This record gives sequence, C-alpha cells and structure tokens, in this order.
Amino acid sequence: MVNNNRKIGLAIVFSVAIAASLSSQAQSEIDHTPKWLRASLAARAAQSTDRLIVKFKDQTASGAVRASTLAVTAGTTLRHMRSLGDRVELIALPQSISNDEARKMATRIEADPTVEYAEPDYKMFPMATPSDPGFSPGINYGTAINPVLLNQWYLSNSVSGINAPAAWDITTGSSSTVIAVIDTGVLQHSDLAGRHAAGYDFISADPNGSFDTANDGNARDSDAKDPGNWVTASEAGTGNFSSCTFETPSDWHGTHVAGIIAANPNNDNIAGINWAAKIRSVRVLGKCGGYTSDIVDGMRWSVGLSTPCNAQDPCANVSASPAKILNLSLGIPSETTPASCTRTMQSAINDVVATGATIIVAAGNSNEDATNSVPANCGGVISVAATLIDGNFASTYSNFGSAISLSAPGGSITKASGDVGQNGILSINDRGDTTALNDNSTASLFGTSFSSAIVSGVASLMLSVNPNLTPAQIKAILQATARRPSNHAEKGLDCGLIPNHPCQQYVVDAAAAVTGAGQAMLSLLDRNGNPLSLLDFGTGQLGVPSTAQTIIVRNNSGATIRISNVLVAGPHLNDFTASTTCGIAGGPGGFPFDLSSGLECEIDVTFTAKGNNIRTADIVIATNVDLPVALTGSGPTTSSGGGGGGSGSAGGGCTTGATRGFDPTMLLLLSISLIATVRRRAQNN
Amino acid sequence: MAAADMIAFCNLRNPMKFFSKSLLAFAIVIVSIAGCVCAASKPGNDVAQIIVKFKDANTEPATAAILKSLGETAKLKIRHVRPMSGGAQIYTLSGSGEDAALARAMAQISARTDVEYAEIDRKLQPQKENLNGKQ
Repeated sequence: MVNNNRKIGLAIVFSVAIAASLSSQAQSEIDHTPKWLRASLAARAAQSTDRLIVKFKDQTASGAVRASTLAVTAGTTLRHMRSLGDRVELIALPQSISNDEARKMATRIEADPTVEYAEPDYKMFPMATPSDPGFSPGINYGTAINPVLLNQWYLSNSVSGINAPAAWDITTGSSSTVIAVIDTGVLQHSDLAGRHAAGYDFISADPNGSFDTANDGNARDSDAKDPGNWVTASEAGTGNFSSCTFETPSDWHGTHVAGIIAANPNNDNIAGINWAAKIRSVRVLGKCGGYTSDIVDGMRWSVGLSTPCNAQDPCANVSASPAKILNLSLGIPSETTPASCTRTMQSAINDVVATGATIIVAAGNSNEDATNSVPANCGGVISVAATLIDGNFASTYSNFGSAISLSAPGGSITKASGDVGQNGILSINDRGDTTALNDNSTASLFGTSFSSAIVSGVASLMLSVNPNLTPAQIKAILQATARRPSNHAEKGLDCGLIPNHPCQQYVVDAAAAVTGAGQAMLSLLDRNGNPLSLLDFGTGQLGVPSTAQTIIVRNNSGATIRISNVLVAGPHLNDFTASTTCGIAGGPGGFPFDLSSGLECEIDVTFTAKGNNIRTADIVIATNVDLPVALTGSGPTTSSGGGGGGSGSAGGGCTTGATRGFDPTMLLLLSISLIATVRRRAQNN
Repeated sequence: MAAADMIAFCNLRNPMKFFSKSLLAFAIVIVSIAGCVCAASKPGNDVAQIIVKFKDANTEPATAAILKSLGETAKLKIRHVRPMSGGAQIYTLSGSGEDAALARAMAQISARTDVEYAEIDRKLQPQKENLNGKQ
C-alpha cells in the first residue's frame, strides 16, 4: 500500500508539471517524454515560489495600494515589490508556497475585476540548449570567420548522440568536480577560460637523457600546457620515436579531449558536456606518446597521492581538491597473446580507485579484442569503445570484446556516402601544425580517445547530482542506462550479466545516466565500512585458492532493494568464485533476495589462478531498483514518498517488496572489479 | 609483405592508416595479422627503461651493491634513474640492442626473489586519428 500511495503521489505531481510548463515547446514535449524525464519535470514542478506577477486592467492606483487590496482576495498578506512595467506588478507572498498553491491563489486573484491576469512567478530552469554554432544539429558551418566547420552530432543526434540536452535540463555540472585529463597537456583555449584546475607536466627525460618526448626542453615542471607533439618525416620511426612511423602534425589531443568534456557553452565554438567542472591537465603524452612510468605518476598525483615531482618546480598538493574522474584516452596494443594489463598500470589503478576516483579509458584503436590492449584490459576501469554517426559500432578501428564497459560516439573518417568531415568528433583545437598558434579554433578527430572523453563528461555530470557515487556505482549506472542505437528501448540492463555479452553495442545516454545518479542503490563496502569498487587478491599461484575476501552489500536507501543475482563475469571469470548470504534469506536458498532498508548481506570471493599475469573479472550484483522512487527526489534517507506509509521501517520492507513485484524499471548491475596476479616463471630463452 | 612493412604495421595504433597508405597490402595484412608478433618498442636505440618493484619497500634502489647485483642478473649495464609513485623504481638497461637480450634480462630480473615485478616502461599513444586535417 505504501507503493500505491507513492505512485498516486507521483501522478499528482506530474499533473502539476503540465501546469507548470514554461513554454509551448515544453508543453508539446510532454506527450512523448520518456518516463525518466517526466519524473524529472515532476520533481521540478514540486518547486515553490514566493512571488506572484499581476497585471492590472488600468493604472489608477499604485502597486502598493493594489497589493493590500488584493490581500483579502488572496487570503494572505501581500507586499508590492516593484513594477515590471505596463501595469504589471511583482507581488511578494509572506512565505514560499508550492507552485500548485500559488497557481490556485493566482486564479482567485484573477477573479478580481481590476486584474487582467495573475500567475505565479515560476522559478525558471534552463532548457539548456547552448547557442554555440558547433552544437547546432544538422548544420555545417564553413565560413572563414567562424572556424566551426562541423557540428557536434555526438551530443544530440537522435540516433547516435548521447542525449546531452535532456541531461543539461537536470544538471550542467558543478564547479567542485575536478576531472583529470591524463594526456598531451591542455592549451589555454578561450573555450576553457576559467575552467583550469592546477595541472602538472609529468614528462621526464627519455632513457637516453634527451627531451625528445617531452618536447619542451626540460623534464617535469608545473607548465601543463601542450607544446605540441609533431613528428617530422626525419624523426619518424627513429630513436625515441621508433613506434611512430609516419610524419604527423601536432594534434592538440589533450585540448580536444578537455573540450569534449568541459568546453564553455554559449560562445562561438562548441559546447562541452560539463559546463562548470574544472579540468586538471596532467601532461604525460609528448611526441610519440608517453611512458607508463610518467602516466602512472600523473594518475596518482591527480587524486592527491604522493608522487615524486621536480623539487625545483614542484607539483601542487591537490589532496584538498582531488580529481574524481580520470580520463585516459591512451593505450598500447599488447605484444603478447594472451595479453594482460601491466603490473605498473594495475597498481596505479588500484591506488586511484581506492581514493574514490573513477578511471575512464579508451578501448583502443587497434581493431582487436580489448583484452589485449592496455589500459582497457585492466581491472577497475570503465573502458569505452567507439560508435559512428549512424549508431553502428566503429568496426573499422575500435577495439571490442568482453573488456568493453560500454560505447560512446568516436566518429569516423567517412560515412557511407563518402561525405568526409561530418562524422568526426568536433572539439576545440589549434591550427598549429607544430607549436600552438593559440587561435582558439576547432577540429574534428576520431577514435576511441573521444568516446572515453564523452563518457568522462557524462560521469562528471553524474557526480554533480550525487558527489558520493563510487566508481562501481558510476559504472553500474552508465551500463544500465546505456541504450542501443538500433533499438532505443533496449537498455544495457544485462550488460555484464552474460559472459562476453556485447556491452559495446550500448551507447552512453547522458540524461538517463544523470537521472540514475540520483536514485537509491546498494552500497558496497569493505569490512571497515569503506566504499569498495575493487578487490585485489595480490599474487597467487596456479590452482591454489586464495583466502576469501568479503564484500558487504548494504542497503542504505529508504526502500527495499531486490537482488536478482550475484555472479562473476568478465575476461577471467573462471578464476574467481563467489559465495553469498545475499541469496539465502529471501527465499528457499536462492534469488531473488529482497534486502530491506538498513540491512546488509555479504559476498565472499576466492581467487584461484587459471593463467599467468594479471587476471581480472567483475563480481556483478544485479538489482532491480524502483526508479520512480528516486526520481521524486527521495535520496538515501527519504523513505515515504507522500503517503504517510512506513516503507522506511525495517522489517516490513521485505514483505512489501515481495508483493510489489518490483517493476524492473531499471536493472542495476553493481560490479566489483576482481584483480589478481600470477607470477610468471622466468624463461631462459 | 616486406619486413619493414610488417614492423610498420605492428607499430600502428590504427591499421586503417596503414591501409590507406598501402591498399595493396590489405589482403596480406589480413592474413598476417594473426601471426603478427611486434618487436618490443624499446624507448631509444640501445637504452631501455624499465620499472622494478622490490618486495621489500625499504630496499635501497641505487646502492653499488644492488646495481652490481641487478647488472649481473640482467647481463646488461644498469643505471638507476629515479623512484616512482607506488614505491617502484626506474632503471635503464643499456646494451640491450637486441630484443632477445632485453627479454632475457627482464625474465631474469622478474625471477629474482627480491623483486615483486619488473616491466619494460612502454610508451602509450593517444587513441585518435586525424579526420581530414585541421581546419
């Protein structure tokens, strides 16, 4: 019955949402608005106001006098605030009331013969559509004055875009979120004005003592701008550039990535996904890439962990403002098969994730199984494959397979018609082929680098809705809310449930992800109560079981959450076994299991190595979450949606939940990354 | 496919770029790809940078004794460069011009009882391609 009350409550709020529509455009959108957005509008309608706007038929009395006259009709005291011009007066109420009540009051006031109309002074919310020419869908810009030649189809294309405008109606980001761009450095582009957090240049000297890779004439320093990464024809394939066999101009890769994530909206360039967050430029890639050692040092520093820097030009202590998102649009195909993440990279990932930061990486552009590509094959990361403007998988270059978490637009060089140029990922860039011209221009590039950047932007929006999200929760929400371009109704709900399930077919949905970020979900904790996103079993021996490690699954939400399964999935799923108390008490020894509010259960995981080197998998906790509850804004501690029922009382929740049937509006697969290492024997070859 | 082409292909982050340069090689690449074993991408001609993590965090990484010991293990000249985050150390191995010599050295260092792991400090690349040049 609690549930019925809640649903009635939602219906009431929804009707107000229609009444509170701010424009005819918004009104017309409601008919086919998806459920999550309707709920969002409903939440908005629950907003209040403390003002009325009244237009009088004539001008024979002052606003102050009229306010006092109308007070009788209104049934409350009114105070004239100011004239808005042409017989329109702004009237203050003695206290804030709901928009619904304000509308009723305005209706009463309209009955007064001196009043032409009266309406609540609705608090407006941005229907956030940026004015940047690059954003405008379906238009190509090609003037010499305006450098924007292409458009940001990836944000709003109805088939292949990420649904960014609807996400912006919920949030455009928070300035307290810091995103580390682990990349080539970031230029002082006008589209990033005011958006830089303290950065650092981590590129050290090359092994032969030169600064070939650094290309700024020195080793580590506090200048995290990009000096350029061009490789000349004579340099290509030689010395420190041995793996770069072609002449290439500077690509301003870090700036491009940063722009996708965070470019300022409403100017002459493009719109980033997050309009407020800060970008921390962590320069680790120079000419022909960057060393693993510099990359992992930069990763740790960006979240405030101890890292050796240059004492003469030290790195700032950023522990007070650690990055919560790390974007790694970089990679290297493995040189062995089967391949594995490197110990050095996995160790850094473990340390960073333990701080609560989420690592998002490019799947890689080698057109191979991503289980062979570092860092996409590392445990504890969100690895992002690429899709095209038609929504199809970027099968010409994107890495694929069981290591993929989800996809996002990565663009391509052509589409079927051969129309080159419309289909890359437009972002801010620079026309300089060697050093930067600092011309505040744009360019279109393609690759999984930009798929990663897009997901980083979306994840940062999720954190502005719920700053406490853990890496495991962010991954679960991103996967559950991703949609399949060929069938918008199909969500990535079972992504991760089925071994080798093609998560890569699901494209990130910014609006759904941001909505999901606000909903109740399970907390995964260690024995000390600390949030858990990753379990590392250290180094094991082939065939020898490890001691078990425990995951505490706790329901801190106000409602019962149903656990429908607990299983192991991922590249090395046979190396890990799980036993759980989360599937016993709710039924005769199995699933589904209803975990009441305030209660917890446990999962014990054991590692038994079946192969060498780093082994990874996920333990997946599948839950059905009643999405409407969360969308009415009932956070973790808000339990009764408006019916006065006792859904928050522990004990009753389980039974109530069982009878509710748990309409599987949203299936969340919370997963803990499992990582272990097997020591490879020395080979005397 | 010529050996040089093979190396070029192996080093590619995006084979598409290679294909555009050498369409004729396309079919050969397809049949060759399964057997493509890329050479270790050593940074520098004859100097390889490596990462070593000792089991004992208190191991002094640059004493004459440990350098001598590591050098004998690697059968190459070793130099300590700097400490890393996470408690690992960076060294260079010189004289490692041959891939086989470097691979042998890495296997031997990894097998030392005082070493948690040892890896070549590989370079990673941005995962992008130019679309149609900058505007």
